[in-house]
Order: sequence, then structure tokens, then C-alpha cells
Amino acid sequence: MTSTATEFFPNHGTIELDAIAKRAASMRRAAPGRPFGEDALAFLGSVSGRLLAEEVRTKHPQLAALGFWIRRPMLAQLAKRYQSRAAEDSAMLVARGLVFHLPPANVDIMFAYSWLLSLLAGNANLVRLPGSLNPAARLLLDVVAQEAVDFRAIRDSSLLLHYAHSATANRAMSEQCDARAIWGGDAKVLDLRTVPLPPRAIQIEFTDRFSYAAFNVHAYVAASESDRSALASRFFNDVFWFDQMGCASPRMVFWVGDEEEAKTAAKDLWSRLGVVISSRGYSVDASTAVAKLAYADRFTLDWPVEAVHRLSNELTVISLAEPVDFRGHVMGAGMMMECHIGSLCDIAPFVAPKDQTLVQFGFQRDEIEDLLTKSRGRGLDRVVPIGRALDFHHLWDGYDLIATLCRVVHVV
Amino acid sequence: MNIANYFAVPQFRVGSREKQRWLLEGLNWLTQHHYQRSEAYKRLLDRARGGAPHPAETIDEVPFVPVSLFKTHRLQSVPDTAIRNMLTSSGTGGQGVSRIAVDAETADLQNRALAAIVKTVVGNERLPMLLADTNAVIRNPALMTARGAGIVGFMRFGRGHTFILDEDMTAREDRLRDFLGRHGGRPFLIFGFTFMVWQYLYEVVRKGSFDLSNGILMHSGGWKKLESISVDNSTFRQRFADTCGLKRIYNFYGMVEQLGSIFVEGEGERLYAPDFAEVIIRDPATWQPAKDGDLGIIQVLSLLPRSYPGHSLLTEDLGVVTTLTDSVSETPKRGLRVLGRLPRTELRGCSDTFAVQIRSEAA
Repeated sequence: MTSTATEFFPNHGTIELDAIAKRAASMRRAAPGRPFGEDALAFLGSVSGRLLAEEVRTKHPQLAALGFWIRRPMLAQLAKRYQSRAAEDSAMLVARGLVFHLPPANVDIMFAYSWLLSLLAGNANLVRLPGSLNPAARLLLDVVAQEAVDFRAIRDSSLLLHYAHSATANRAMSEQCDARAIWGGDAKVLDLRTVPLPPRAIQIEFTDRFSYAAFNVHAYVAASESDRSALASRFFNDVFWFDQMGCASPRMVFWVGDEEEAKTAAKDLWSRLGVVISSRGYSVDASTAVAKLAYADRFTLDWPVEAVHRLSNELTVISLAEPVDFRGHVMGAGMMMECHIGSLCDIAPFVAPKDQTLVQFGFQRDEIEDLLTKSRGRGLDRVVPIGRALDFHHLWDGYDLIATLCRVVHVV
Repeated sequence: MNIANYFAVPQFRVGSREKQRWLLEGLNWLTQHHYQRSEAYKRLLDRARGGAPHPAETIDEVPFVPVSLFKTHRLQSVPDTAIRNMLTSSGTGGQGVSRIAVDAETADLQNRALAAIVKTVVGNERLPMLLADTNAVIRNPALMTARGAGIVGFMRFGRGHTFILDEDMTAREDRLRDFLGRHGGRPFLIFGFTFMVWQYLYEVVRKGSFDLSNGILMHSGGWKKLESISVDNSTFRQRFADTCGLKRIYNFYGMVEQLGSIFVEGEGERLYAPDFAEVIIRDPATWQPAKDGDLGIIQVLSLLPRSYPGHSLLTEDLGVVTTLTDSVSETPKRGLRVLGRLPRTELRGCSDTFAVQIRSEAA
């Protein structure tokens, strides 16, 4: 076991794990203590400006998305909303204290969302970065370091580091925190649950999730050619970013409505999606192509499959007679199940706790609310239009992340 | 279809066009045979290959099954009561073990096929046999691994078997000396897995002075471990020739999913299909047969599998086929080079491979 960690921010260097307690105490003192502090807003605003610059936007669209999300006017609006809500309850929002973040190893800049949200909430932050950082993550760290020069409180209340996972190291970090945010799936969450937290500390957990899409086939068929092409293009983003391995990446399509229209819509969307796949240059390697062949065959033997459509190496569509619970056996990289149902609320019996995002096209709000009511709270944390499956939001995985990373003090 | 015709003649001899015709007829028959007898195979063809099979017009139209399917599913074309052996292999793909249901007929075909191949290489006589292994792998049938099964399968072709390893995997130089003292003056057979042959037999002959010039070595099992120490087929051959005069070396490629059907090293250090089998290289971007000399994924076809639908398998190995002209008969022949396993890709996502990470980081 190593007893040191590599520090990436605010300084570069090595830090002894034994020194964490002392460091945590000074970080706590430096933290603003309440959400939406002027320092945090100004700092995030200047990071946002850098990330929205042309050269970043073209090279690292995921950084631009982050930059867009922390724009100053948008944060000011959020501040107003949370503060007025608290005022109505005769309450005041304060920070939790020190938040320990364990972002996922393989979603490059996820650590930033977790960290910056918590910073906005006024907390001190200890972030365990993944062992290897890709160019986008490294650029982000550079930008953050440069912009933080003018913000002493941000620097003094943050610590971004990497250490090899071990029970001892995780315990040393956890002992210092008031909240722990664990990203990275069931195995990681279950493992870290065995590392104790101080009595008053809370934990937010991002486990393995499952997502799907629903199309109103009548609305789809009625849409114009160009609208359908635009839809396919947006759906490409939903499906193929992160190789369909994101929590929010849809893995199944429900065709909702008339059966004949469903067939027409399916044929149309898959062929348009095929065009987008080629034009965006998405391709799978040989190993993934073989894995997809074998997966589709196994799936055919195990589930009520009507037909497998291998449209290309990049897109396999498996038509099912009825929705099946394959949540524990997913593939990715363009493996899509499809199923016809009569109305949106027919999904309700299928909904399970693991379900996160429903990407939808063409449904009214009352139909969606009906589905969510009939699901009896079993699952689904987000319902978003086509193209927005992977848009991060502070309402995520069933948490209001800002509210959760704050404490509500009742001041009567 | 009388497959016995194939084994009556020396292998690797049937002219290419004639072979393609025989094979096509046999493979089409097998596709129908398995379609009618294996529910799982029928389901695959009906649902995932566009429907009931029509006779293929060329060999590359014969539908293939990914070999990893045998690790997760029991695919068989005979009732359970007819199964004589359940062959297993430890897969390197991490998905578990292949289970291959072999009935008496298929077992008989496998034996006769392998005999025909070995006789073509070694001759009709049963030669004294040296094994680059320990007899522990064959002694306990409960521990019967692919390695043990391979050894038992080949032991039939020799006599006076000598294992050069102890049960604790120590190479016994004295056994080698003793074997050579008794049999070294006439042709003898050596069998083993490539890595074992290198690790144990070569290590012994390298240090002492041994004459293996009458030996005929057949070895298989892949080059992955040897590549990590920069030993390829040419080096392997050269070193044995230089240190102990062993020159008749035949590498071969085969898998438990098509037992008996092995591709044996011949001219140009390439592997050649026996007359009842064929190899196709598939371009993984289009799944069409790759051009001569182009790298792709190896598909193997064989007329042997009757009790399970394994007559056309997509492997997870990379290879190249080059068509050469046979130096004796001047007919074209297709030589295979196996270039190792398809590298595995990990798709990224929100879930950390956490358990693995902890273990590797702790190590």
C-alpha cells in the first residue's frame, strides 16, 4: 500500500496520507460555508469563459458542454431559485462542510461536475481523480489552475489528488468528510459502503443504471423528412456518445402506437441513423464487432427475439416480442433492442429501480406523468427529449445535487 | 455423404477445385442436418441469419457461429443420451469453458480424421513417443483439461510413451537421455504444447548435447507466451535445428470446438487445411472473405461435427491466408498464418471495473 497521493490541484506534488486530516481542517476553514458565494460564481464564470472559447469547443465538445453549464447567468438564476425557495420555508442553506468525491474512472471529465457543483454549494472538496487523465481532463485541470490564481479561497478549500484505491487510503479520506459522492457503478458503491463515514456524514451514490427511449410512432411518421433526419442525428448523440455505455445511453426503443406505423417508423429511423453513423465516422473495432455478433446470437437463444437486424457492424437492432429484463446483460457500441407497445403507460410494468433516463419523442406531459405514476416510484429519474440523454443537470439520478450537498437550517 | 472417402487418402492432397466441391456438398448437408436436429441452431438461423438455410453456392456462404457461443450455451444435435464425451476447454476469453457434445459417430470421425492427418505427416508406423509434459495431466480424468485431452488424443499415434516432466513440472534430463539411448537412432515422435516444448524440452536440449535429428515434433497451442519472450516460429525452428538437429517440426492449429480438424504446418511455415476442412479469413468491417494476403478473423469449417453445430465457426483469432503454388504438384494451395488472438476492447462507460482495479492496484 502506498502512503502517499499525487496532488494535481491546487499544487503539483506528493502528499502524505497522514497529512490529510490537517489539510482537511484547513480546507474547511477556507471554504465559503454557504452556497452561491461570490467567489464561486466568479470563478466558475471565468472557467466557463475559457471552456467556451472556439479552440476548446472544436477540440473538446465535452468541455464546452461543461462550460455552457456553468455560465454565470445560469448560475445566478439557480442561486435566486434556491435562495427564494429557502426563504419561503424560513430556512437558510449552508454548506455541508467537506465533500469527498470519487468520480468514475472512465468518464473523462465527470469529476468536474461533481466537484464544481459542490463548490457552488459552498463546500470544501477532496476529489480522487482517476489514475489516467485524457487530454480533455488535463486541459480542464490547466484551465482551472490558471483561473484559480485569483481565487485563494477556492485553492485553499480544494484538493484534487490521485492515490491507489485501498481500504486504508479510502478510510483516511472518508474520516474527514461530511458527504461522500461515489460515482462508478454498483461494485464500487458496494465496496466503498464498507468504508465507514463519520456519524453525521451522508453519502450519494451513483450505481449502474439502465436507460431507454420511447417514440410516439404517429408523431414520428407525421414529422417532415428534415425533422426526422434531425431527430436521427440527435438520437445518434444519445446512443453513441460513450459507446452506448453511459448510464443514460438508451439501450432499447419502445415504438408506441399503431403497429403498422411502428414498423414504418422503425425502418425509417434505423436507416437514417445508419446515415448519421457513417457521416459522423463512428466505427467499432474488430473485437467489438465479434463481441456484438456473439452477443446478438446469445440474446437470440435466451430471450423472445423475433428477428436480429444487423444493419452494419455499428448498429444491430434486435426486435423483441415483448420487453424483457436484460438489464444485467447489456452490450453497448450500437446494440439496440426494440419493442412495439400500444401506449406509453404500457412501459410501467417493465420499469425497475435500475432505470434512469427515458428519452422520448412526441409525448404529452400528462402521458409521461401517467407512466411515472403507474410505475409506482420503482424507477426512472429523468425524462428528456431525444438528443438530451447525456446532458448533465443538477437534478441527476434522483438527487437534487445542490440541495443534497447543502444543509437546510431552519431559522425561525 | 460418405466422409470416409476423405480419410482413405493421404491428407493435404486433394486438388483445390475438387476439394471445394466436396466440402460445399458436405457443409450444406451439415447445415441442414443441424438445422433439423438442433433447436438452438434452428433458432439462430431463423431469427438471426434471415431464416431457414438455403444451400450455399460457395463455401463462404455457409452460415457461421461465433465460437464463444459454446461457452455460454449447450448447442447439440443429438439427444443427451447419445452424448459420449463432453469436451471442455478453458477459454482464454474469460467467458468460461466451451462444452462440446460429442457422440459416438463424431468421436469416431474425429479419431479417424486425426489419424489420417498424423499418418500423412509421420507415416503409418507407430513410433516411440516423447511427450513434453507430465503424465499427471492425463492420470486424473476429473482434471482432464484441453491439454490432457490433446495428449491422450495424440498418444494413440505413438508407443513407448515417455513424459519428460515430473509431476512437479521438473524436466527430467535422464528420461530424455534414456529415451534417446533406446530410440534416438530411428524416427521417433515428439508431441507437446508449443510453450511447454519451448519451456521444458528446449531448455534441456539447450544445456546438454542431444541428438534429436530423428525426431518429428508436432506442437500446438499458440504463440502468445513465446512472443512475450520474442520467440516466433522461425526462431523456434532455427534454435531446435541448431542445438539438437531437430528439423522435422510441425506446428498445428486446432481447437476443441473442431477436434480432429487440425491445420498443419507445411511449406513456407504456413498451416494447411486437411481435405475435410477449410479456413476463410473474414474482413471484420464487411464480414466478406478477405483478399489473399489480407489480415482478418479466422473462420474454420470442418465436416467432422455431427453431434453439435460446429461445422462452421468464427474464431476470435486473427490470421492471413496466402495462396501459394505447391512445389511438387504445382497446384495452388492456401497457407494460413495465425497471428494471435483478437485484442479485447473495453468499452468505456460510467461503471468502473472496480474489483479488477482494486486487485491490480493492490498487486
